[in-house]
Amino acid sequence: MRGTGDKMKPDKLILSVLEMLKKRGMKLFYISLAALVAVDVFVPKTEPEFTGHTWVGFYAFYGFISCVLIIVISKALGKLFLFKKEDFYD
Amino acid sequence: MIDCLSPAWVYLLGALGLPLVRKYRAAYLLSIPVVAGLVWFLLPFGNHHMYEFMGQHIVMTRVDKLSRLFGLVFVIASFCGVVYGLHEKERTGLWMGAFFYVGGAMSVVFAGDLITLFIFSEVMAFSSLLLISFEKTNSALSAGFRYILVHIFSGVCMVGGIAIHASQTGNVAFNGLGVSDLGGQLVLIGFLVNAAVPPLSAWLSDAYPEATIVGAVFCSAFTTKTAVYCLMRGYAGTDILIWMGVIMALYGVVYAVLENDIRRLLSYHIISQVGYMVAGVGMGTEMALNGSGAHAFTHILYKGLLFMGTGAVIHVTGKRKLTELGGVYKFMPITMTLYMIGGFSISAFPLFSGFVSKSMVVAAAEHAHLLPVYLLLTLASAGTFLHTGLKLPFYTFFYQDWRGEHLKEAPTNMLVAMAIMSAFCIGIGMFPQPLYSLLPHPVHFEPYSAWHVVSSLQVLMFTGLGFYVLLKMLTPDVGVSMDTEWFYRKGGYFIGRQVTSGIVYLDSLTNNFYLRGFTAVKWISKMSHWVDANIVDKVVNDVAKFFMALSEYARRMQPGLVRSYAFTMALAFVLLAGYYLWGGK
Repeated sequence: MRGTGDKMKPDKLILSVLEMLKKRGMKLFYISLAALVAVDVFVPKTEPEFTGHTWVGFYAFYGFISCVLIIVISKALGKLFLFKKEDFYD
Repeated sequence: MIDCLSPAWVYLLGALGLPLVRKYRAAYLLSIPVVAGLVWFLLPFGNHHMYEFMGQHIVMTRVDKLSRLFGLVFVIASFCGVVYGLHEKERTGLWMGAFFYVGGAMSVVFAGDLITLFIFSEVMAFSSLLLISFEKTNSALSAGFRYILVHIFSGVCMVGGIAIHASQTGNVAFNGLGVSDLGGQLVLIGFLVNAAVPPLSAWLSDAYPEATIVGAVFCSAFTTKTAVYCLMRGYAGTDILIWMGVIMALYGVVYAVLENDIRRLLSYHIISQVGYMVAGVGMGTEMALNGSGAHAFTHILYKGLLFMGTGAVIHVTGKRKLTELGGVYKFMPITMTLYMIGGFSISAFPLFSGFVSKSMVVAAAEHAHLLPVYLLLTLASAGTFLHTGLKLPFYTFFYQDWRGEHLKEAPTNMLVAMAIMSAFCIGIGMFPQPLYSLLPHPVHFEPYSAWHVVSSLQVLMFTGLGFYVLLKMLTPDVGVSMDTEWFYRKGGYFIGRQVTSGIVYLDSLTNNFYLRGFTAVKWISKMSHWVDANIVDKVVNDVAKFFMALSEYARRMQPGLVRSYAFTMALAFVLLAGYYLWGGK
């Protein structure tokens, strides 16, 4: 089954996609970030339930802050007491 | 009485029949979920298989939209689980455990009364123990031991609650149970343990990383989701569950940041995702309950896929820690891609299944004007993408080059199973209507509004930005996180030490007592001996001597002459006659 190398075989295909992403991935990423905030201005906002809902880029900001908060708080909790050496229980 | 079959029986009978099947094992194993699926399809709505037992009305199979929904996803998950584990088809014990487990879960989900619910919950607990312990490492065996202790505890809570509830209401019907009485509260605790609600959740993050690779896939799907079903059936609208769910969602995400073992990270994510479902149950509105049900459905599929992916990595590399992995994508690209489909699904990316289910629960919070709940669940969503969609795959598949020997992709059966699960994840994500039609209540939620897509993508992509910016802080460290299992591991150890030192002390006291007492006893026995020898025996001897002397004397009194005897007899006769004739008037 693994005889002839073929561009369309799934693992080769995936590897070539990854190669392409490596070259242009970060550019694509930044473009999409900007696009998302830009689109925010035009998209019809359905039923705003609370104030922040309608601000441009609210969710973008919220996503970034959530990520930072989770990392910082969890690491802090870990340093304080949650994180133990591997043989803690043995 | 028996007007239809139950899918549960297919699994239970299949498990019993397994030891008899030597050839064509793979076909047998695969046929069980297929047949069960057919039975599911033919199931008529309503109550079936009812009978009386000890004065109670038993309903073994109760079919309505809610139970049928869970029944379907169980069939799908078990089929893919069998495909995934085909390379281990010879391990009879493992597969018997798996099928008893699924059959038990089916029975619980279709149970119409509390007694059936309890019995099959116990079946589930013990059969899933096999799925963990058959890994046979020391850590698996001890984790399995703690696992079964916790589940026996939940079973005891359940049965006690059921007994109290039944004595108060007079029946054992499994419908809404209130928390106003002790019975309802105890049963709730039992369900909460099985749903892995903190602080009673440590069993999950303790046991699932140690389980067999195939077993973990099954375990991730069934115990917690069955408990979610039970909560949906019994405790919809119980407000305290809203906050328990939110705390769960955050709890899982916080712990996952610290995790190094890939399956332990996913286990904490189970807790996090189940938190959404529990919160939905607590909210109790139609949209919230639909959301919980939909999320349970999609979660089983994508969580199973994630466990399959990480299980495949462990199977091929033999490593389970992020600190020891990296660069795996080069020889496991298919596994990586299929894993990422699961990762995007759990993160609720548009076009994937999580997007049409998780967002329903979050939207329900918004519509119920529970603003903090809405914000916190969205925060937890960011965290979910951060770990399961970014951190885990980055450090497992990329980051650094693989330093071990050259390895190959996972076995084909594993890849096929993952592909089927992925197809469901994408299929449901793109075409949610079939799933929505199975939900218990009519669905008025439209996931693909432009605004919803944009706002979700904003949260996710900017979480990605945060990941990139703080990448240095996320490097995995070697270590374990401490969870509430501390109480019964270290805590138990300390209590055990105290108790044993107390016992040692008491033991030494009794030893001293015995030693001193023994001396006293020795003295007493010496004394008795003296009394015995010098007094008692003396008396006995003297009495004996007296009688012997007396008998000597008496012996000498008899002359032995007949003349004397005759004279004595005649004299005695005259005296007796005289007494009779003249004496006794």
